[in-house]
Amino acid sequence: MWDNIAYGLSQIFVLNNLWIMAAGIIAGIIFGALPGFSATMGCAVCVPFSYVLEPQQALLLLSGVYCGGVYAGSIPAILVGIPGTPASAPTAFEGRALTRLGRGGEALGICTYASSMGGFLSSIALIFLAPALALIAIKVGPPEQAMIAVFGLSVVCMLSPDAVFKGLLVGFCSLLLACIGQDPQVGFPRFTFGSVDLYGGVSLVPILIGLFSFPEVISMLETKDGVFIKSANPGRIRFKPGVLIKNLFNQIRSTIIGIFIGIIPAAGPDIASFLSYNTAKRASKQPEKFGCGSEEGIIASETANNAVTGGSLIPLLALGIPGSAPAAIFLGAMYIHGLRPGAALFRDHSDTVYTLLAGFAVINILMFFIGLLFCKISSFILVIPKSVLSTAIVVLATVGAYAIGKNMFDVIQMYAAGICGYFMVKNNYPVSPVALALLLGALLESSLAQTGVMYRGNYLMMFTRPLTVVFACFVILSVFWPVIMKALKKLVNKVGKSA
Amino acid sequence: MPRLPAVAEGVACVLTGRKWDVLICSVIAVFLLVFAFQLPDIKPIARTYPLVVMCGAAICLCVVVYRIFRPKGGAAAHAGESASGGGDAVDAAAEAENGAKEEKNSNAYVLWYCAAILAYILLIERLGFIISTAAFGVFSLLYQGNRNRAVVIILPAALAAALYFVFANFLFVTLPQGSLIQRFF
Repeated sequence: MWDNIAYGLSQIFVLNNLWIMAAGIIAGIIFGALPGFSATMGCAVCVPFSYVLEPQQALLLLSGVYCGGVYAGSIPAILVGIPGTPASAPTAFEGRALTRLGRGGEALGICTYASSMGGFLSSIALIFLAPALALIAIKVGPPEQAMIAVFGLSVVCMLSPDAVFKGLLVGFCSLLLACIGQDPQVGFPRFTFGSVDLYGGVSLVPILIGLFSFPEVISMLETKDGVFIKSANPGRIRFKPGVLIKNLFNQIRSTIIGIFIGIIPAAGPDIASFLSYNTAKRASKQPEKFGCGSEEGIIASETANNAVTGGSLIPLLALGIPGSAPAAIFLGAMYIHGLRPGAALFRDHSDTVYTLLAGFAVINILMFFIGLLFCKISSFILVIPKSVLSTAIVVLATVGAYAIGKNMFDVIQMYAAGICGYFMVKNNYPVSPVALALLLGALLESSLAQTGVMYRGNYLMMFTRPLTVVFACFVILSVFWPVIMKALKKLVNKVGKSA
Repeated sequence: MPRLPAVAEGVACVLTGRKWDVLICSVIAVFLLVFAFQLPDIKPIARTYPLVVMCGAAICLCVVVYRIFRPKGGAAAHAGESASGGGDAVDAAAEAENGAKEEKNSNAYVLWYCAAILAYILLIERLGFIISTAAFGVFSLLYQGNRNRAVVIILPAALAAALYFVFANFLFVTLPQGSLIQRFF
């Protein structure tokens, strides 16, 4: 393993790869910093640009976009109080307060450091945990794969407790969409409606591009403000080492929260940042400072949301389950480059994987310096009319969807997915299950079919395998999680009242 | 004017208040029916999995529809109160009407823009990427109220040309050149 890491590091410091990582970080920062854009959208739009690159360069580019996008949402959060991504909402509370006190530069410096540190520490976890999980993945056969796919899809229940059945409905409909095309057992075309374009199934990446970019465009149309609020001048970008040393335990705790949340499928940086922020507030010796410009709050939120980036790649590389929406797009890009997650990835493409793992750590270091540079010019870039942004998104999404298969049908799919995505977001139907179901649907069906062949139709036999039982327990836990949480809350209230 | 029975008033209230939920459920129901009608044409071995998934979707749809229409404390009572009159009720009704008008205008605004995007997508292959993108860009900026002439004229053309150049020379993707343009030139 150390040989592979050394090889990965040697590849990272090739000039081309450094340029690609820097380009990815800059693109990610631009996407993340502009409200209305997101890291997910940035990854989706940049996937077509990665086609001509070698697989490791493509993954480094997308990693840069991912890390930069998640970090940069904090820049408008601090300067104008509008988070660029939902994960930066807690940073907006504290950062805007600091900006009003004339300490915007300090807030930006702390935020940049915390994001880089969280991302760097999670990349170390990624280097050690992903191969370890991949070793477990060797023992994974079709029954376990089926249960992993069901677990990944069932997590949707845990994430949308107020819209559980809406999430399940979206999941099932997306699984049905994934059935379009040739079935994995006998190659019989299903639900093609006589169209040759549908023989290969629906196009995953164009659908993801439409799903994550169009709702934002239409939301911009609905709010007709011409120009963003002019951002405050941040002043000198700096941070006090004393503040960082005082918050060392806060950073470690937030990193662990971020990595853990990142590993959970479909849980994203927004959950990690809020959870970490609330935990820091409860543990703080000065909780009254939260909401009035607390450096602790910024460090907790930013460390956690960037720690998710490395954490979300752990189940992705080892098991093929994306830990977040950008990771889902990452997985789509891996398939396009012929890389299949799992133990075989670490065995057959170890050069690519370890270049990615080493590159992830270097990306977070580079992000620190590029981020500080960007903070200085950010107040000019944020004043861009929504009309320009929405036009640019539509054009980029269109050309990106076309470039995948050089087929206008992909663009039509992108458009249809975008319209559906808009109505879903507007009416509180979760969008994450669509990405997961389209990615995991084929795996689920093929592994269920193989399981049927293994046990001659007696599917109950699969529960004689220990790993299958473990994942089945996770599934049951995630399905009943909202019920368990409700019962726990009632119990806590009851105990509180009786006390 | 005769009053509707309370249940019907409640349903009407729900339909008005949650019309988007009802519409989405209807669309999903049609989607499932369309797929269900395709099932007999599929070989039995390839049919089982989608059938199970469809059943799961149908059950979830029924639960979602039930939750939309399930009688809550407010719905029937609200239906009763709305007919009783009073100054506050008149003001609230006027406000609701204004809100509905604004929503209608906003919906029409969005609808036209979506139609423009669709037209852009459909015209790319006929007019070519550069011309259709430049035209869409100009329309999009003007439609959203951008009156800066330099931006409206230069940005769409520059964006279209830059993307065409990058995709053709660096990504080796030839964007559509336009069947109509090729025919005449």
